[in-house]
Amino acid sequence: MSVSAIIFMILALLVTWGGAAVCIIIALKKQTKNKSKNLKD
Amino acid sequence: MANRENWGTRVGFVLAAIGSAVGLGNIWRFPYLTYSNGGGAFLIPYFVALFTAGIPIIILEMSIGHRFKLSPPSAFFKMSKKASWIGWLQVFIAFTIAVYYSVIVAWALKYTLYAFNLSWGNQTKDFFYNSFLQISSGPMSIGGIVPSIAIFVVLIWICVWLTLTSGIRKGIEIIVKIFMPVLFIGLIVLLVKVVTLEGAGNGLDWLFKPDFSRIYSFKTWAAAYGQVFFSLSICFGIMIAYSSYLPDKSDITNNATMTAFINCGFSIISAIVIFSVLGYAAQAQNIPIKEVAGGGIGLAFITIPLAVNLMPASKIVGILFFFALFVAGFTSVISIVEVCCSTIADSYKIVRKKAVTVFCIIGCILSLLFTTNGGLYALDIVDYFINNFGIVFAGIFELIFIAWFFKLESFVEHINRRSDFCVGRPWKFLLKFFVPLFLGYMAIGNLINNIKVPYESYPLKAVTCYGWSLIVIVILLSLIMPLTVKSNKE
Repeated sequence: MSVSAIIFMILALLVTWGGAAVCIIIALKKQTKNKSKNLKD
Repeated sequence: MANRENWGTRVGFVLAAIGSAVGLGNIWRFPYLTYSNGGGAFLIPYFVALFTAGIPIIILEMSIGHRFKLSPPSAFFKMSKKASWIGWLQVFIAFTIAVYYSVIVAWALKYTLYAFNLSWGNQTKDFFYNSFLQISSGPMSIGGIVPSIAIFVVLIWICVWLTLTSGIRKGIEIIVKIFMPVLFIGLIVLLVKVVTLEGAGNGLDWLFKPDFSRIYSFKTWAAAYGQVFFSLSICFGIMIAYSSYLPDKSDITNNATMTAFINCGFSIISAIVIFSVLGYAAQAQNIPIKEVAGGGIGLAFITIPLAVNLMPASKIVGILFFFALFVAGFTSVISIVEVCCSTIADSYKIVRKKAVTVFCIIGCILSLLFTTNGGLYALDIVDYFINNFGIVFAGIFELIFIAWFFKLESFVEHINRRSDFCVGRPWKFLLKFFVPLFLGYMAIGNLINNIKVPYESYPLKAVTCYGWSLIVIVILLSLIMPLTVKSNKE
């Protein structure tokens, strides 16, 4: 496999699954924040 | 509305949305499109299309469903009494797609069973067209129903009926919570298996090696936008229907973005699997990869079985591949049918179970057309017209209505009040100007091309019968159906 092909393959996986992972992490953080907010109330 | 069912969990909704978006096109269309439009360089317009069209439209459609908590026609009616025809247009597009898509899912299920014994033999093309489909000489020779396919189509509709009559939580949510992880694991296992095959590296090189000269071609950008558009299940009511079951305190933008990214992620993994297999097949047969590279039905049911025959552990690879195809297709079919059933239930105030039963019976009967000897030709033409005219025009009408005649700003407020990411001027600009203009250009281009030369050089009679007539009927029904809804008159 050529270097450019490897780079683009990794880039494609990073953008898509990396992007999804960021979204999931943000969602989980907000969920934790809301749970602790509810406990305080 | 007070009794409208909700998704049990956020995960359930997101998996359902992903299940809807991830379908046959991710597996058999995206890889070949990437390969034939500049390889790795195609990813540039593809990701631009994702961020400028795909994600903005998904956000809009999820916010429509969430805000009005109704199926598409009723949701559009809430926005304007004169607009429900846009929702009906999306429903009839969904209806058409459900009818033929279920047949392809049935093929995938049958091929999964064939994989246990590699029943397709060595002449996979001859097997597919002659033994399996028993294809006729042309689109105007419909012939008779092929019973072996029809039985599986009925089975698929029974499974759809069972899923949807069980409701959102106990039906769709349970199915997607099982099927989507199974699909992901199956594709990863397949990936690990095939990427280590001899010749796989060559295949991946052909797929990802960038040809930057293609970026300067408008056709490449149109292909990228088209793929994002058709891949994300937008503009035919699915995201509106699914998000109408969301509870009030639900995020919209993060769910939409997650769905879009994961859908594209599945496309990338599928592309790696497909081109690893093709690279192996080319090496094993000592032929250039362009002789095996292809897309669509031919790739899935002719080229892949041929490649599978040559592989070590061929039966396992075959079973995994076709089961993945089946799962991807089935989770999409249930979402498409859900649009129609929720519309019937909402518009005519019919109990959900009755709406699902009526629709599944009608859908199953109409699907039998595509199980005939001439069914593949009809399917090909119908699929082309409903996607390139139906969905594209539905998208244009939806965006023009909401961005120009309704208050797009009200959606901004609705979304930002409850979402992890906010939308603002860039989002409004894209929906108001950029996407409609691009879609309009695509639509006019398609129209001109098809008037000049009939699609795939099919006889004009066939294109008129299955293509243009279908579009006219869908438009007419969309205009007539609002008049039949009692609550509209009240």
